[in-house]
Amino acid sequence: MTSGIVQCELCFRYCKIPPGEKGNCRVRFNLDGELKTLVYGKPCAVHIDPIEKKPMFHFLPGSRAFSIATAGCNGHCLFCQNWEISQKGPEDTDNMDLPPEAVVAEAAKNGCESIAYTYTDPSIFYEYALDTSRIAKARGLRNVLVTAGFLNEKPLRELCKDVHAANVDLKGNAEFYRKVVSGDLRQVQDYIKIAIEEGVFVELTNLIVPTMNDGEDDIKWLVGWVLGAVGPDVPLHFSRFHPMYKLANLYPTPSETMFMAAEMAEKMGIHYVYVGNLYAGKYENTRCPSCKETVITRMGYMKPDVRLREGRCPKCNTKIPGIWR
Amino acid sequence: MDCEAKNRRLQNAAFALIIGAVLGVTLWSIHSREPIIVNLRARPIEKIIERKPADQTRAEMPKSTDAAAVKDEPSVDDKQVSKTKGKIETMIERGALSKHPAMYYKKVEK
Repeated sequence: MTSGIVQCELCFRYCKIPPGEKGNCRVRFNLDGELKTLVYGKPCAVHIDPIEKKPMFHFLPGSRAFSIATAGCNGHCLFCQNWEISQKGPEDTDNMDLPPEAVVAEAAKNGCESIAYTYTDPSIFYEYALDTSRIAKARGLRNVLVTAGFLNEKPLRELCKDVHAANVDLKGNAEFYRKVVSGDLRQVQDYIKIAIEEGVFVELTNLIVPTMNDGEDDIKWLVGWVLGAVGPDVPLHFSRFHPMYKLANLYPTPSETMFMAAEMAEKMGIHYVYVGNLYAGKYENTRCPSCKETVITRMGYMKPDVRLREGRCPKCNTKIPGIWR
Repeated sequence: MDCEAKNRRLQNAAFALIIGAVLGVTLWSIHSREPIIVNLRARPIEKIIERKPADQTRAEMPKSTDAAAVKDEPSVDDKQVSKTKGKIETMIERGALSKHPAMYYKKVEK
């Protein structure tokens, strides 16, 4: 005999949800003893963005991504840039009616080469992302996840079947995840490894927050984990923090700190290091790790100058990892 | 040159200087991606994470005088839960929210 309570098994939280209540993510609802998603086909954000904005630098450079998100999130970062939709339930946001087939049709109509599941987190609009990505792949469009990485193994492997690329946040160490993100580092680390194992092209992003994860030890630890777990060829983006949400009183990350992190990551052996949310000079460009030739030049979100030849350095023929066509 | 023409030329020069200065600052801001208007209330947050002793290479951080710079959310009470439940169920009935079956869950036995 059941109690009417359901237990969600999507992410590390394993929320036990009584009838009439929602899970931590605010979008999964117990309706008369059955768990429902409130946001299937109901995005609250739909935009067309340059793919570099995700940031994805090794995936269809210069292309446009049809980007969607629903309300809610299973993380609660104090610095969330999208808190006005991520930290609300869908009953409090303006939502559109856009079923999966319509997402794909709009993306194709607008000349977008990919669909990005982004802004909040595709983990919490899982069913919507899963169905949309299946239709998109069948129609020749690519799928990109932009995610904090809170998703259990089974649903993740299922989702990866139709996903081509992902940008995963690697925000800090375990303490940072507990106190600043209300998240779980171990799950994120597993997510990164599983996605790569399933053939998804992964790029990582670390948002550097002053006084919280901006020390040399923090960067050293993070880069050390990346090198040991997934190797030097996974592109790593350091992103500058700007005051937002519950950290509106904190100052933006100094540019010196951003370049310290990038230089340290390069010195430790990461091949593709980028700096975002400020003018970053050489750290906006892709350089061949062998001969140091600049193979892709970028300036903000303007169309990049791509000099690769069949995905290889034009000077020394080194293969540059990525999805270039 | 008569006075009026001289004054006009001076005025035009002054306008050109002002416009040039504004344009220059704007272009510099775009180039450097530094905000023109600095958040004068910005200050570091302490005590969310216990910091190790500062690196020698890092500048001395001014100490925060506030007990907490991070806002706490109020706890959710039963009335609020029931209000939200009512709102959600109404919106589902209207079609404003979905009731699509969720994957990856189980029913809890009594």
